[in-house]
Amino acid sequence: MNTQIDQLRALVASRFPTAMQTDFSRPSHVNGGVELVPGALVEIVATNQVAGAGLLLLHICNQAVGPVAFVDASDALDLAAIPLGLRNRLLWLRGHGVGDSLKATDLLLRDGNLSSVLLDLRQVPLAQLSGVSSSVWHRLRMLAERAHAGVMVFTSHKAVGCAAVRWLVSGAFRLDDVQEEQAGLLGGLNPICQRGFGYTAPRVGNTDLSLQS
Amino acid sequence: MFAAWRLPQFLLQALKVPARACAAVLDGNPHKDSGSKDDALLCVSRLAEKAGVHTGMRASQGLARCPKLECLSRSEFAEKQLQDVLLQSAETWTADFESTQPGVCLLDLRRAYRFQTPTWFEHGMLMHQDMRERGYELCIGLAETADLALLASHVAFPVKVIRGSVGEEKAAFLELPLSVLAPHPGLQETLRLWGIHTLGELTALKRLAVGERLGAPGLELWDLARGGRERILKLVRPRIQYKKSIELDNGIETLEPLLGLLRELAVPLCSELSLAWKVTAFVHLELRFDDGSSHQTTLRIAEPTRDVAVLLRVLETHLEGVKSSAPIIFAELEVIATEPVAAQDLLFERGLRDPNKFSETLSALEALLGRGRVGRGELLPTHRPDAFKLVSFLEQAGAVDALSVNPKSGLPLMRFRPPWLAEVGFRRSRPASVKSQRHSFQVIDCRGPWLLSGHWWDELHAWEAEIWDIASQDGCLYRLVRENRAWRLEGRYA
Repeated sequence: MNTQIDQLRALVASRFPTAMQTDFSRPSHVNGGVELVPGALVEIVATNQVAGAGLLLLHICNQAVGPVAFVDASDALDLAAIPLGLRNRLLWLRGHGVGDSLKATDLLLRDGNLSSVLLDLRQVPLAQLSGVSSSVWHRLRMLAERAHAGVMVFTSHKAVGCAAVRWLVSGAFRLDDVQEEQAGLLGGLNPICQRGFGYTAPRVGNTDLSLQS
Repeated sequence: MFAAWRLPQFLLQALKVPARACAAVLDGNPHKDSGSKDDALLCVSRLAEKAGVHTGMRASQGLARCPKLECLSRSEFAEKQLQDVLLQSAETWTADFESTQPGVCLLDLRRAYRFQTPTWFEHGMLMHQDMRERGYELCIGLAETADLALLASHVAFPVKVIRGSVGEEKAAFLELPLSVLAPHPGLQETLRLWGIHTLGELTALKRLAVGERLGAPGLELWDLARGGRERILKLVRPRIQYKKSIELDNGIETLEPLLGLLRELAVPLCSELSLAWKVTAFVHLELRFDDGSSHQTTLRIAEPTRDVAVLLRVLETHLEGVKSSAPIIFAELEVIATEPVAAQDLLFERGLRDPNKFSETLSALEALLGRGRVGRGELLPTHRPDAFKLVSFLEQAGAVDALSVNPKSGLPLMRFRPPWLAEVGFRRSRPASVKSQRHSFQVIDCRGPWLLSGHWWDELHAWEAEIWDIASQDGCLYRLVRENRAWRLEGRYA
């Protein structure tokens, strides 16, 4: 069944190349392959002492197709850092903490209109973060699966028990890097996959594009 | 044929001043009740004119010449009412008419069936009689073009018919003052300095010469003085409203009966829309409560529709967040119609699966997070850091933002909202330690200061900031800012 779907996708991609410029045409190893996984939760862990998760967040938003929801639990987004093209398709939800932000994510996933949802919990205190029940994350996982939406959660400590993939960001930047080109900084990020190694969206190579009868 | 209707001494007629009265209207604020003696006279009655009072004089000068002069203040309401009467009367003669200016209305009579038989002069007299029965004096000019008819109305007592060009009626127009063409004040002043006061004096000049010296406005004025050119009228068309309301004897206290009531209002409205091939873009709802308070809102329909169920769903989502201390006794629903979208959505480029459902979700999110906390961010046209506003996500994005420069360098900042107030220790004029309400640390490295300022021309909103990038001993990178002599940590590079 999956093979047939892959072949169908490839056939559509060959006939509508501009429309299908999504995961298939992208280089597979930008930042080690960190990306949204449709229908699953991805967790990005970046401790407060480490800079770089913001760069990754921007990169993921840029790569996402169509409107992107950014649930900002600590209302910390610096709009000036967002390129104009992304700003126009970024739905910014300025939360008041973990509770509101999880409810907002829940509403967005139930709505099912958006396929990319990013939840930023990096500035949330550890006590609040660890206080989130695992059933909440499971509910979000099921909603994401039902809506076929990719959900990425940014945390300062491991918190999402049911994350399909978890990445640890361990970039070390200095003051001189603050004004460096973002492309160069992304190269030095080197995220480490802690869970779900190999769990990525199905890719299609140059195989036979004709459908099997 | 065109007819120009002009109400002479419009301001006096609006105030219903008798024709035999000695009165004048002051050029003051229409909202003011009493005029000042320093105000100029805008409109003067014939009797006052005979006594030597004319427009442009100060009220005190007018009173000096005519002690019986009654000085009246303008009434915006009365002027609007008279203009409405004029337009209503015009509507009975033809469907195509223009509300040219206060007291003036142009009628296009070319397609009106009733003007086939008698002479034009008789038609004019009938029009004059019609307005006289309503209590107003009217001057009517009839001509082949709209502008010529307007010119004719200034020499009509009460009706003037012009057949052919203005050349044949030279004697009638030559003495008219330039002010009848309502030129731009600057242009009129220039012509006055040239010694040009009447249409005859203007048309005596060569058109080309006028164009060379006064440009397009001068040419336009010259053409108007010669009878104008063919032009299309800006026709008055009544606005069709799709509105229904209901008053209740027994107040409603819960949502369910209210939704039933709204359904009763929405169904006929959607039927009307259907007959007109329109869809709803906005819904305006007004509720009045038993205690005298009211609730009004305008809801945007993300994907315009005339589906009653969709409209009710949008209303229900909104009403779930409305609270009142008294029962509802009045409800009014108005739908703002628009043309249905003719274009088909592209197969792969449509962003949202169900925009109406998404609009409801956005309402629910706004109810959860608060007003101004859900939407698309737009930078404000200033260099002040963190100056932005949130607009509705469903609104069409502008082609360019206030600051459309795409940032491609640097680590993004994670802002502290509100910023953390800090006490900063210095060593050799550079930050050495920071003590904030949440975190205290030693500074091991810093870059700066960068000085920014803006709105220096505005005392109230002028700002200036001194910005430092600092690194703490635990490896964090912060932005430190001094503004209004206070230090604060604005954010962390993340």
